[in-house]
Amino acid sequence: MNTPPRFFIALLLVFFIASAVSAEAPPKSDVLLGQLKAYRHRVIYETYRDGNWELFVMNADGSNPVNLTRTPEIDELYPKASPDGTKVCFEADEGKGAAKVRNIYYMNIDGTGRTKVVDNGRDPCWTPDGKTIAYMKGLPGPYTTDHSANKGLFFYDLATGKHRPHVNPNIERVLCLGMSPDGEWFTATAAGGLGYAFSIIAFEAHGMRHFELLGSDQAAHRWQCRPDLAPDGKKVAYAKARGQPPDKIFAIEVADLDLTAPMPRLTNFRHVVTVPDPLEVYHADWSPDGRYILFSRGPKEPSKMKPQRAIVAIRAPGWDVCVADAEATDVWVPLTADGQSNKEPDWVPVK
Amino acid sequence: MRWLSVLIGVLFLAGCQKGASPTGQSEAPPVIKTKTGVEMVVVPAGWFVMGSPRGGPDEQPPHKVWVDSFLIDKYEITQEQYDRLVPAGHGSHFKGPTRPVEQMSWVRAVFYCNARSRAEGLEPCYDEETGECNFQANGYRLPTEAEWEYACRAGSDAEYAFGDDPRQLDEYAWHAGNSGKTTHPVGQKRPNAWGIHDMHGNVTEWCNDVYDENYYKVSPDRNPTGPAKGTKYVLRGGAYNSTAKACRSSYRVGESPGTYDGCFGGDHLGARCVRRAPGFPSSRAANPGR
Repeated sequence: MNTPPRFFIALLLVFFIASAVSAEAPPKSDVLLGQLKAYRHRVIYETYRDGNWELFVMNADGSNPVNLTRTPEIDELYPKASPDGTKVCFEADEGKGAAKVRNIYYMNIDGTGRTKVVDNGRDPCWTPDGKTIAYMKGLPGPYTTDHSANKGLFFYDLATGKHRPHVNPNIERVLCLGMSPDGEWFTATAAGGLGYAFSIIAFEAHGMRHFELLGSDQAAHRWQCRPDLAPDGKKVAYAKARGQPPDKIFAIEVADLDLTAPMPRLTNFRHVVTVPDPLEVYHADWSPDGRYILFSRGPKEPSKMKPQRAIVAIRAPGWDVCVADAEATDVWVPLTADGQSNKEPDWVPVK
Repeated sequence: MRWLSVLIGVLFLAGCQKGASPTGQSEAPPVIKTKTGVEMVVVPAGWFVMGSPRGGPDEQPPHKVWVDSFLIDKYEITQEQYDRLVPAGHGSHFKGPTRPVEQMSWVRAVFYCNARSRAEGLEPCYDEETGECNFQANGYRLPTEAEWEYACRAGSDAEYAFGDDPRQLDEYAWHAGNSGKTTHPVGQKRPNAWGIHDMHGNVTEWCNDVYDENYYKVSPDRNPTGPAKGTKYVLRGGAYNSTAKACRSSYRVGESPGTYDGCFGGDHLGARCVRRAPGFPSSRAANPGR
């Protein structure tokens, strides 16, 4: 019997995709893994286990993962460790059906002392002094996984439990808030907010000014999102997509930033990690000393009708947490290997 | 009783069609208001020449196409219309209740169509798992590419619904030459001969069809619905940032359908809905003679 050539082509294609999707680390990663074994800072991330999202913490080399939440009825998501590493704030999807809502909590890094920050909140981040959690208020109405469905930025004071609005009441549709080391600036992705179509932006923490750091180029099919400021506040890492399938690539890109400039912009771009379609990389996070960048990596959602797997609370089969050498290109190692929707990693500083 | 409603529909729409002429110098078809308060134009059935010999390769060959009667939104979907039905909102770049929704992916547009169908007690057209369109359903959907061009031309066989002179475009459309780099409230420019606004500008509009640059070579001549498979979907009509050439009636472009999260930038991408004309069976089931 003659085997149709199409069969072999399909077999090759399957083999190629399987190879690409595998979390195999690139060459030179042995050295990196060796460094991480001696690295004292830890990693917290969200992961989907037994029908439920939990927060896990692990060592920098991926060893000793520990479940911090163990709440079968609550989905804990989007963890952000405090600057001193003693606490973590996060989102929690609670309730069922029409009663489902996304709230914000914080707790000690060992999982004790859970305290609610606000009902219907999103995108929390810490101020550099660790005394305040900034967050976006979710839009009223039914629960949604739409990451940009928010309006109004607030500050929650851990000591007093009081909430204070940002001076600009028109902050809306921004996601992935982060603060500069001096506490004067936020960085975020604007998705239709503050007059930007889809851009990485910076806006004043206590003022009205805002700037587009990097806009998307619709004609070139280039988009960037989810910025994370380096500890020195002079670099930004973010996820980038460019091109259209089959030539589309995803990357974790790094660029320089001077927030003291009259018109801050990102400059001097370079890739830290690149993957070809159908893989994606997202959720960049600088290590406390700026040497490494955490990120999540996995296959894209094959259905055009379903939300992107990078979005909070969207299951992401095959996704793993990885860490890259911030000074190199494509030198990285996977820290998880079970593919259980491991996303949104964040460094936990250990003093 | 069904035959009676069909008969009434035929007589009604035959009346509408009577005034239509190839030059577009016709009486505008009737406009209805839907249960959710959206104005829709009753587009008469008819033949037209789809494509253009003066356009790009994907606009050729020009070919005769029959389109059954249907209803089409008189205006592009506005932000206030979208907000009423989709609690998570739209995330448009240029804000304003009567401006068109933009940053809209094909998938978001499809979900909106279904939401609007449900709000009016109609059968949704789209399978929300696959995106497949049920043309037999009586709910809202995106226009086929043929329906869109037929409605845009409104009886005209020229480059634009108003003729061949792009200098007239300012009267009919917001485009790169007059928009000030922003969208504008819908309906501010002159409509085409059938009373439909902003087909040539403001935001580019998603169609239901998969895009294939060679589709016109194999397209059926009655109610074509596009290729069965593909990775891009059709966008039609100019936008606030389009050149005059891209605002032409026959201009086509394909784009990734996107996803329905925030990671889709396209502040020139919008849509408008269509649905079966009342009293008519599915347009896909009709089999008219020439």
